[in-house]
Amino acid sequence: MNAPFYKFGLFGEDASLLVALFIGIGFGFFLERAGFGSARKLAAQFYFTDLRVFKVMFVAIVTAMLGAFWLSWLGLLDYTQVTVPSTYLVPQIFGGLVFGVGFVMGGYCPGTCCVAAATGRLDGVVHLFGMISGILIFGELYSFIEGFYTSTPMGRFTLPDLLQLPFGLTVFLVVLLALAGFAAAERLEKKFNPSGEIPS
Amino acid sequence: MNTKFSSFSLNQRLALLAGLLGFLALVAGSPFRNQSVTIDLKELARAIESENDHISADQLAEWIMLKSPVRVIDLRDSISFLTYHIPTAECMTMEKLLEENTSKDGKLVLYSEGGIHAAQAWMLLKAKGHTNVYTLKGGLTSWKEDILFPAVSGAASPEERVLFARRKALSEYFRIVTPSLQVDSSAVHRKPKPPVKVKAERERPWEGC
Repeated sequence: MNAPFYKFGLFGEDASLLVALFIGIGFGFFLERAGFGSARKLAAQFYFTDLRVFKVMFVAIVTAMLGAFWLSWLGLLDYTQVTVPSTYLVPQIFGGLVFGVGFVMGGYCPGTCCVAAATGRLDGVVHLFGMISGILIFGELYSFIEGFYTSTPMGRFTLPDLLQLPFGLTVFLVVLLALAGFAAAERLEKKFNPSGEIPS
Repeated sequence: MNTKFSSFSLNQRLALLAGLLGFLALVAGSPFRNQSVTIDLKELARAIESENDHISADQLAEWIMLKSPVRVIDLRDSISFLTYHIPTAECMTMEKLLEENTSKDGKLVLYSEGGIHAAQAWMLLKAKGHTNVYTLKGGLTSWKEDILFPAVSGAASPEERVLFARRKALSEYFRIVTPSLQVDSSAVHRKPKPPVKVKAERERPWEGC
């Protein structure tokens, strides 16, 4: 048995949609359990009073990275077959800025606004509506912005490619960065929110 | 120590585990298991342009004669190999060649009938990280023409005659080390002739000397 299962034909396209649905529900469930259904909690990270978004996301990155590395090392996962979205540097930096501004303004990112909407929060529903409208507008305008959207293509570009370092060393450095980040986040929280009060 | 560890919170224990797995990743080596390689395209292009990717039949003949540590790989099928092969050569398929886990610095010379197959294998081995791998320029055809049956024209320059004399010596050597030499002259391609004239053809290279 070798992963990715879909690429190795363990299940077809229809089944893969079902798998995606279950993974999506699981993702939403854990986002909600982490408290990401609340825009106040999400926005608190920008004021350094509650850095749980940073911590949860970095934990997810480190867990996935270590899992991918060690499963590949054990021969259970063919890392080269794992889909990595192509990098288009400049448009993605621009997209990141748009994303960040939307996050600060609305208090949600795309995943968390779905969670908020699913748990009945009105701001989440409005945010979700805004996101879907944005997708529609983007789709309609795509032919005008295609040139920019596909500029500076870099293909499958990952950290080891950027740093020109062995894969294992990159993994180690990212883990160190995460651990240092967690320690720094705890300190920042203590400094900016000494009472430990959690916004609801 | 145990007491200290048990006093850690769950978060701290998980952080410790992540740190440990990260550190082990540092020393575990590549996770790719030959599934994927990174190739230096410029280096390959330079090797090809500067003709460092192949050697001549003369060079290979000298290496074999001098018993230089070189592995010669015959990439043709086993029947062709049994019919004739360069002395010391090993018959191997491309797949088997890639599966081998030998030193990446060892000198390897690859040959096929013409050279295309060997060039493809050369690319794969370079991608795998072999540093000292060459193809035989012109393949076995060139080996037969240059080493086994060297020829020189009457109007040859002095340099060509010197080269011919050297090749003749090599030819004699390789005929001795492979007394059962049975070469299908159709593979020599010097002049397309019917197979019945094989023997006469073999004697011709000495003409004009």
